[in-house]
Amino acid sequence: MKTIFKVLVILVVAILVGGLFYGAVTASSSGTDQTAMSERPHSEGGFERHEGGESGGIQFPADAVKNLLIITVIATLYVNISRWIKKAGPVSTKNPVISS
Amino acid sequence: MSKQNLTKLFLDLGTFVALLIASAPHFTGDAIHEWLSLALGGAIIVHLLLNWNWIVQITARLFAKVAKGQRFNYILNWGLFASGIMIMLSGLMISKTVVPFFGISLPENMSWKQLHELSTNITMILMGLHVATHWSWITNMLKRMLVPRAAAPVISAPVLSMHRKDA
Repeated sequence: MKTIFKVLVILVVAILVGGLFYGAVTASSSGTDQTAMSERPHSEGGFERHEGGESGGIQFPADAVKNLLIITVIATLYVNISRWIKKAGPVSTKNPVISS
Repeated sequence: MSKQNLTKLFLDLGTFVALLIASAPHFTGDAIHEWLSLALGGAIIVHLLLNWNWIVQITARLFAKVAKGQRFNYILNWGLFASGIMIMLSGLMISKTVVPFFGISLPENMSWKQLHELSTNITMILMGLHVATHWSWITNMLKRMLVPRAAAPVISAPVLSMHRKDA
Protein backbone atom coordinates (compact mmCIF):
# COMPACT_ATOMS: atom_id res chain seq x y z
CA MET A 1 0.00 0.00 0.00
CA LYS A 2 2.83 2.34 0.96
CA THR A 3 4.71 1.51 -2.24
CA ILE A 4 1.62 2.16 -4.38
CA PHE A 5 1.25 5.55 -2.69
CA LYS A 6 4.92 6.36 -3.42
CA VAL A 7 4.55 5.29 -7.06
CA LEU A 8 1.44 7.46 -7.34
CA VAL A 9 3.34 10.45 -5.89
CA ILE A 10 6.15 9.94 -8.43
CA LEU A 11 3.66 9.64 -11.30
CA VAL A 12 1.69 12.71 -10.21
CA VAL A 13 4.89 14.79 -9.98
CA ALA A 14 5.99 13.45 -13.38
CA ILE A 15 2.61 14.34 -14.92
CA LEU A 16 2.78 17.84 -13.41
CA VAL A 17 6.30 18.44 -14.74
CA GLY A 18 5.36 16.93 -18.11
CA GLY A 19 2.21 19.03 -18.24
CA LEU A 20 4.23 22.18 -17.64
CA PHE A 21 6.61 21.26 -20.46
CA TYR A 22 3.74 20.35 -22.77
CA GLY A 23 1.98 23.64 -22.07
CA ALA A 24 5.15 25.63 -22.64
CA VAL A 25 5.96 23.88 -25.93
CA THR A 26 2.45 23.99 -27.39
CA ALA A 27 2.04 27.62 -26.36
CA SER A 28 5.30 28.62 -28.00
CA SER A 29 4.57 26.72 -31.22
CA SER A 30 0.79 27.18 -31.47
CA GLY A 31 1.09 29.13 -34.71
CA THR A 32 3.07 26.47 -36.56
CA ASP A 33 1.53 24.09 -39.04
CA GLN A 34 0.75 20.66 -37.56
CA THR A 35 -0.25 17.51 -39.37
CA ALA A 36 -1.27 14.16 -37.98
CA MET A 37 1.43 11.46 -37.98
CA SER A 38 -0.86 9.10 -39.88
CA GLU A 39 -1.37 11.64 -42.68
CA ARG A 40 2.35 12.13 -43.20
CA PRO A 41 4.27 10.01 -45.71
CA HIS A 42 7.21 8.43 -43.85
CA SER A 43 9.72 8.70 -46.68
CA GLU A 44 9.46 12.43 -47.30
CA GLY A 45 11.12 15.07 -45.15
CA GLY A 46 10.18 15.45 -41.50
CA PHE A 47 11.69 13.02 -39.06
CA GLU A 48 14.25 10.56 -40.27
CA ARG A 49 13.59 6.90 -39.64
CA HIS A 50 16.12 4.85 -37.71
CA GLU A 51 16.21 1.43 -39.29
CA GLY A 52 19.68 0.50 -38.08
CA GLY A 53 18.85 -2.51 -35.99
CA GLU A 54 16.04 -3.76 -38.17
CA SER A 55 17.30 -3.89 -41.72
CA GLY A 56 20.62 -2.09 -41.98
CA GLY A 57 22.73 -4.79 -40.29
CA ILE A 58 25.07 -4.12 -37.36
CA GLN A 59 26.17 -0.50 -37.14
CA PHE A 60 28.65 1.27 -34.91
CA PRO A 61 26.77 2.68 -31.89
CA ALA A 62 28.19 6.19 -32.34
CA ASP A 63 25.47 7.90 -30.27
CA ALA A 64 26.03 5.61 -27.30
CA VAL A 65 29.81 6.14 -27.47
CA LYS A 66 29.31 9.93 -27.72
CA ASN A 67 26.99 9.93 -24.69
CA LEU A 68 29.33 7.70 -22.69
CA LEU A 69 32.15 10.10 -23.53
CA ILE A 70 30.10 13.11 -22.37
CA ILE A 71 29.24 11.37 -19.08
CA THR A 72 32.85 10.26 -18.53
CA VAL A 73 34.33 13.70 -19.20
CA ILE A 74 31.81 15.50 -16.95
CA ALA A 75 32.18 12.93 -14.15
CA THR A 76 36.00 12.96 -14.33
CA LEU A 77 36.09 16.75 -14.28
CA TYR A 78 33.71 16.97 -11.33
CA VAL A 79 35.46 14.28 -9.26
CA ASN A 80 38.92 15.76 -9.86
CA ILE A 81 37.86 19.35 -9.24
CA SER A 82 36.07 18.45 -6.00
CA ARG A 83 39.13 16.43 -4.86
CA TRP A 84 41.36 19.40 -5.67
CA ILE A 85 39.06 21.75 -3.71
CA LYS A 86 39.08 19.33 -0.77
CA LYS A 87 42.88 19.15 -0.85
CA ALA A 88 43.24 22.91 -1.04
CA GLY A 89 40.88 23.21 1.92
CA PRO A 90 39.03 26.28 3.14
CA VAL A 91 41.13 29.43 3.60
CA SER A 92 41.47 30.11 7.30
CA THR A 93 40.70 33.66 8.38
CA LYS A 94 40.95 33.03 12.14
CA ASN A 95 44.68 33.58 12.52
CA PRO A 96 45.92 35.68 9.66
CA VAL A 97 49.69 35.76 9.28
CA ILE A 98 50.96 39.22 10.05
CA SER A 99 53.87 40.14 7.89
CA SER A 100 56.76 41.82 9.65
CA MET B 1 27.04 -5.05 2.05
CA SER B 2 23.29 -4.98 2.56
CA LYS B 3 20.93 -6.65 0.13
CA GLN B 4 19.28 -3.31 -0.64
CA ASN B 5 22.62 -1.74 -1.58
CA LEU B 6 23.37 -4.66 -3.86
CA THR B 7 19.95 -4.28 -5.49
CA LYS B 8 20.59 -0.55 -5.91
CA LEU B 9 24.00 -1.15 -7.47
CA PHE B 10 22.78 -3.72 -9.98
CA LEU B 11 19.67 -1.71 -10.83
CA ASP B 12 21.73 1.43 -11.38
CA LEU B 13 24.35 -0.34 -13.49
CA GLY B 14 21.64 -2.00 -15.56
CA THR B 15 19.77 1.29 -15.99
CA PHE B 16 22.99 3.04 -17.02
CA VAL B 17 23.80 0.44 -19.68
CA ALA B 18 20.17 0.47 -20.90
CA LEU B 19 20.29 4.27 -21.10
CA LEU B 20 23.37 4.12 -23.29
CA ILE B 21 21.77 1.51 -25.56
CA ALA B 22 18.51 3.46 -25.75
CA SER B 23 20.44 6.62 -26.60
CA ALA B 24 21.62 5.09 -29.88
CA PRO B 25 18.49 4.79 -32.06
CA HIS B 26 20.58 4.50 -35.24
CA PHE B 27 22.13 1.39 -33.73
CA THR B 28 19.05 -0.25 -32.22
CA GLY B 29 16.29 0.90 -34.55
CA ASP B 30 13.11 2.71 -33.54
CA ALA B 31 11.27 -0.17 -31.90
CA ILE B 32 14.02 -1.10 -29.40
CA HIS B 33 14.81 2.60 -28.81
CA GLU B 34 11.23 3.41 -27.86
CA TRP B 35 10.27 0.31 -25.88
CA LEU B 36 13.58 0.26 -23.99
CA SER B 37 13.18 3.95 -23.14
CA LEU B 38 9.70 3.24 -21.80
CA ALA B 39 11.09 0.41 -19.68
CA LEU B 40 13.75 2.82 -18.40
CA GLY B 41 10.92 4.92 -17.01
CA GLY B 42 9.94 1.94 -14.86
CA ALA B 43 13.54 1.43 -13.75
CA ILE B 44 13.73 5.08 -12.71
CA ILE B 45 10.56 4.70 -10.62
CA VAL B 46 12.18 1.72 -8.82
CA HIS B 47 15.39 3.78 -8.39
CA LEU B 48 13.36 6.57 -6.77
CA LEU B 49 11.52 4.07 -4.53
CA LEU B 50 14.82 2.59 -3.32
CA ASN B 51 16.10 6.08 -2.49
CA TRP B 52 12.78 7.32 -1.11
CA ASN B 53 14.03 7.89 2.45
CA TRP B 54 16.83 10.17 1.24
CA ILE B 55 14.42 12.16 -0.96
CA VAL B 56 11.97 12.63 1.92
CA GLN B 57 14.73 13.58 4.41
CA ILE B 58 16.33 16.19 2.16
CA THR B 59 12.98 17.60 1.02
CA ALA B 60 11.92 18.03 4.65
CA ARG B 61 15.02 19.98 5.61
CA LEU B 62 15.91 21.63 2.33
CA PHE B 63 15.67 25.12 3.75
CA ALA B 64 17.14 24.14 7.11
CA LYS B 65 20.82 23.50 7.76
CA VAL B 66 21.82 20.95 5.12
CA ALA B 67 25.32 20.32 3.80
CA LYS B 68 25.98 22.27 0.61
CA GLY B 69 26.77 19.07 -1.26
CA GLN B 70 23.44 17.50 -0.30
CA ARG B 71 21.49 20.54 -1.51
CA PHE B 72 23.43 20.58 -4.78
CA ASN B 73 22.77 16.86 -5.19
CA TYR B 74 19.06 17.37 -4.52
CA ILE B 75 18.74 20.18 -7.09
CA LEU B 76 20.80 18.16 -9.58
CA ASN B 77 18.47 15.18 -9.14
CA TRP B 78 15.43 17.37 -9.75
CA GLY B 79 17.07 18.63 -12.94
CA LEU B 80 17.75 15.07 -14.01
CA PHE B 81 14.15 14.11 -13.26
CA ALA B 82 12.80 17.08 -15.25
CA SER B 83 15.07 16.44 -18.23
CA GLY B 84 14.09 12.76 -18.12
CA ILE B 85 10.42 13.74 -18.24
CA MET B 86 11.21 16.03 -21.17
CA ILE B 87 12.91 13.18 -23.05
CA MET B 88 9.93 10.89 -22.41
CA LEU B 89 7.34 13.49 -23.37
CA SER B 90 9.10 14.66 -26.53
CA GLY B 91 9.88 11.05 -27.41
CA LEU B 92 6.22 10.07 -27.10
CA MET B 93 5.20 13.07 -29.21
CA ILE B 94 7.44 11.93 -32.09
CA SER B 95 6.96 8.21 -31.46
CA LYS B 96 6.71 5.91 -34.46
CA THR B 97 6.24 2.62 -32.61
CA VAL B 98 4.90 2.93 -29.05
CA VAL B 99 2.16 5.54 -29.56
CA PRO B 100 0.88 4.07 -32.87
CA PHE B 101 0.86 0.65 -31.15
CA PHE B 102 -1.91 1.96 -28.89
CA GLY B 103 -3.79 3.29 -31.92
CA ILE B 104 -3.10 6.94 -31.19
CA SER B 105 -1.94 9.44 -33.81
CA LEU B 106 -0.36 12.66 -32.65
CA PRO B 107 0.12 15.91 -34.56
CA GLU B 108 3.60 16.38 -36.00
CA ASN B 109 5.55 19.26 -34.53
CA MET B 110 9.21 19.71 -35.35
CA SER B 111 9.91 21.45 -32.05
CA TRP B 112 9.39 18.11 -30.23
CA LYS B 113 12.19 16.55 -32.28
CA GLN B 114 14.54 19.41 -31.41
CA LEU B 115 13.52 19.26 -27.75
CA HIS B 116 14.12 15.51 -27.73
CA GLU B 117 17.71 16.01 -28.86
CA LEU B 118 18.28 18.99 -26.56
CA SER B 119 16.90 17.22 -23.49
CA THR B 120 18.99 14.13 -24.30
CA ASN B 121 22.17 16.21 -24.33
CA ILE B 122 21.18 17.97 -21.08
CA THR B 123 20.38 14.61 -19.47
CA MET B 124 23.79 13.22 -20.43
CA ILE B 125 25.55 16.19 -18.83
CA LEU B 126 23.42 15.90 -15.68
CA MET B 127 23.97 12.13 -15.67
CA GLY B 128 27.72 12.77 -15.69
CA LEU B 129 27.31 14.98 -12.61
CA HIS B 130 24.97 12.42 -10.99
CA VAL B 131 27.55 9.66 -11.46
CA ALA B 132 30.31 11.95 -10.19
CA THR B 133 28.45 12.91 -7.00
CA HIS B 134 27.94 9.22 -6.22
CA TRP B 135 31.36 8.09 -7.42
CA SER B 136 32.70 7.25 -3.96
CA TRP B 137 29.56 5.19 -3.22
CA ILE B 138 29.88 3.32 -6.53
CA THR B 139 33.57 2.53 -6.06
CA ASN B 140 33.02 1.52 -2.42
CA MET B 141 30.21 -0.83 -3.39
CA LEU B 142 32.22 -2.38 -6.22
CA LYS B 143 35.27 -2.81 -3.96
CA ARG B 144 33.14 -4.47 -1.28
CA MET B 145 31.53 -6.73 -3.87
CA LEU B 146 34.73 -7.73 -5.64
CA VAL B 147 36.99 -7.87 -2.57
CA PRO B 148 34.63 -8.56 0.36
CA ARG B 149 37.32 -9.01 3.02
CA ALA B 150 39.50 -6.08 2.07
CA ALA B 151 36.62 -3.63 1.94
CA ALA B 152 37.58 -0.01 1.80
CA PRO B 153 36.71 1.86 4.99
CA VAL B 154 33.92 4.39 4.68
CA ILE B 155 35.39 7.84 5.12
CA SER B 156 33.65 10.08 7.62
CA ALA B 157 31.60 12.73 5.88
CA PRO B 158 33.55 15.88 5.05
CA VAL B 159 31.85 18.99 3.67
CA LEU B 160 31.84 17.89 0.03
CA SER B 161 31.09 14.24 0.73
CA MET B 162 28.13 12.66 -1.04
CA HIS B 163 28.11 9.59 1.20
CA ARG B 164 24.63 8.44 1.95
CA LYS B 165 23.50 7.17 5.32
CA ASP B 166 22.16 4.03 3.71
CA ALA B 167 25.37 3.31 1.77
